[in-house]
Amino acid sequence: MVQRIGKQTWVIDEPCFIKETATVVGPDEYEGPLGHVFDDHIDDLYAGQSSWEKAEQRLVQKAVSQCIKKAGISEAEVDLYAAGDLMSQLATSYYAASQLPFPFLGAFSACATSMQLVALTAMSVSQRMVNHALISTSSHYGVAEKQFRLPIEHVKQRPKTAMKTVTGAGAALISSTPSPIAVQSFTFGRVIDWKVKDPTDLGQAMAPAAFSTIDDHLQAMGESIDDYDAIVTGDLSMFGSTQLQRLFRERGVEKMDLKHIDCGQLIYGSGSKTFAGGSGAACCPVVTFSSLFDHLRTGKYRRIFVVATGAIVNRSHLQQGETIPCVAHGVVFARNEALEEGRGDG
Amino acid sequence: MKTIDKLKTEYPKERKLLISNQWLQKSFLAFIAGGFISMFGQWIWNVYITSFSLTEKEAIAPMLATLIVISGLLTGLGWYKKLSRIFGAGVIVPITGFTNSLASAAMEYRHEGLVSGIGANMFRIGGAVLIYGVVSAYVVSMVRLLVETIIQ
Repeated sequence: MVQRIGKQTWVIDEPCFIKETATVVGPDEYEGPLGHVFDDHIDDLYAGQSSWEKAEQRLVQKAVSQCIKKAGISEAEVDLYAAGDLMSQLATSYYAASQLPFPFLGAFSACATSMQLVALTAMSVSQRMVNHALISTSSHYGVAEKQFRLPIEHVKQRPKTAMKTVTGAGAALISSTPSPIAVQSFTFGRVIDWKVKDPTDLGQAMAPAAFSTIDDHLQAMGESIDDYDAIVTGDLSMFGSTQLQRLFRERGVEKMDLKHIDCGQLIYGSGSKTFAGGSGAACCPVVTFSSLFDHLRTGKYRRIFVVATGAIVNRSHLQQGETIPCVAHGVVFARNEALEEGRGDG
Repeated sequence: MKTIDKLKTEYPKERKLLISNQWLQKSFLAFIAGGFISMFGQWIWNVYITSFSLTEKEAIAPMLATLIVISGLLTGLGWYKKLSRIFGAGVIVPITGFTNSLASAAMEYRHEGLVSGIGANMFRIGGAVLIYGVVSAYVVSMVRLLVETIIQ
């Protein structure tokens, strides 16, 4: 069962688990500090395909097949497949899903898609509507630049706040069979618009959305940040992260900088040429599903709150003088202590 | 502890302060790079005049064409972007920047076909430069003509 606590937070009573995950990244991400933890990578942006769009589909297919293989289940056992990406009409996800035999749901909340999908599928798994639900999210540097910005070989002066779209795909199998990582609760964020208009400064546009979701979640649960080993945000980058920490300081939470981890900052490391950090729908899942989940499995972390942040960057709306609305969805992942103890006894 | 509304009003002001600019260093580099490209153009022009016995006016077009070819090649090889990371806007200002905008757009859309891909999208960025270049040339010429007739 899923129980509603507060206005926008739900707690999953019936245990629901992350059975397995798989991550596939592009060349720059593979060379980054987390390169060794990803399951697979592609050597160039084309991945042996004739275009970037096809390369992104390939990323999704690789992540999905790897995830099913690692979980040790057959394709027939997957009851539901939900996916999202940044391309208009979720083209990548639909094309990738057309090669797969699963009932499909597409969802879009920009870079917050991954946690939205985890929450939605966790809901259906905990209601026992399905046993195994597969999710995937992807993004591709070339595809995103082509759609949202300018050609990638075009020289332009980008400010320090600009982020780089992560090339990669992350897949996870959410399941009712007990596994080392449990999904405990989730909070769907409200759409927040603090009148930021600069599409090269998305970190700061998204910081208030992340703040609002984390704040609402903690209040609804009656918890403080000390109840978590890490508060993870998707792609706030350098500048967005400092803003988030500052917003929490204003709220009287001083130690946020000790708990806060940003996937966009982790993926390329500091001092990289990629400006303020990584962004994109794949940024949060590839870091969370690999590095952070490994920490949960090994016991370095016991409980983390992952908040994926998304900004709606629509060229037409921005040209018409509109601001950037942002949304953040958060999911609490915890180490399945019962399973670990059970194993110890056995 | 501040209320959300108060944070919301202070936020836009403070976020501007966070982004410090290195405009002095960057403009210097851009000035040097842009100047160097122009100097290179001047050198080609001189060579064309002496070695091909062209007049000063005749040598302009082949000089520009040479710069365009070089810039197009560098864009295709992916080196132009690396240069721009170091030298900033200096590599955008001369005609090389315009070539880069055309070549990069053509590269991006080459998978969508020669006509509806490259043809339709090549001037996606360069188009604005052309339109306003031509329009402003006409406006300035009209003003000049008007002023001249009034004075006479």
